Amino acid sequence: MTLPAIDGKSLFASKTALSLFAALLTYFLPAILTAAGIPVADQGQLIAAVSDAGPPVLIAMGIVFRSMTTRPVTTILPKSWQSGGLAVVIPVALALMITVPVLSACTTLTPATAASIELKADKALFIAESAYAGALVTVEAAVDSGALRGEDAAKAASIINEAYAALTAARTAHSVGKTALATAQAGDVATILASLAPLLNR
Amino acid sequence: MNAAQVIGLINSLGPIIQSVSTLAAAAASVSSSTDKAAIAAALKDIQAKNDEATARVLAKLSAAT
Repeated sequence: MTLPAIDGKSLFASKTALSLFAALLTYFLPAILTAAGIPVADQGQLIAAVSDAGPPVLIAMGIVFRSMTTRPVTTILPKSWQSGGLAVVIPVALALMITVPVLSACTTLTPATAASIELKADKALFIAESAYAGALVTVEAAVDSGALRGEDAAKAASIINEAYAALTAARTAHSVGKTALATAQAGDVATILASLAPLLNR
Repeated sequence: MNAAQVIGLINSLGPIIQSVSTLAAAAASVSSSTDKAAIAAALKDIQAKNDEATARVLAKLSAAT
């Protein structure tokens, strides 16, 4: 079997490869923007915003990438649009379709704002850790007194394992700077711990 | 809950109140603080304690099952 030769031109002419390239670029865009001195609050937030913008954005990205790698963007337009004002307006409109949702999803942070967001995430995680610590104290006292045992003890162990997993996920997200995710997962810990209450109130 | 369990719980109240008071004081301190280094240190401390307490409580729950 002979595999077809793949060069850059044919690779980027493939719609699938274009979509993949666009998705990868979107994924790495926060890192690129950060390297360019434009801090991004949260990578997940950016990806969600681009996804919400939907297929037109991805198609526009694909068209622009194709024009960058194969031929000028105007040559893929109908011949009557390839000269005059439309030859300028259409590429600009396509570029805006990409940049507006992407940049609106980015938060250009001042150092003070960035520090404030990080501080809030630190506090949210601390509150989750405190709630978890409080739950452990209560459960331990219930076990020590003999009030929690048997099937209820097994259920409590399961809930604690689940809460600890959520707490670990929040810690991981926090440690890599995903502040929004860390805050959300910290909230999950409290929700999971709430299911201990019926076991302790029998 | 029988009488022995009630007595056990009452005996546990002291350490519980102490632990919860310590936690509440730490939470109040952290929530009003703007010192990132101090919050990071408090986080590290409570995380280490939680890791240790998780293993201990799970072992006790396992024994009580």
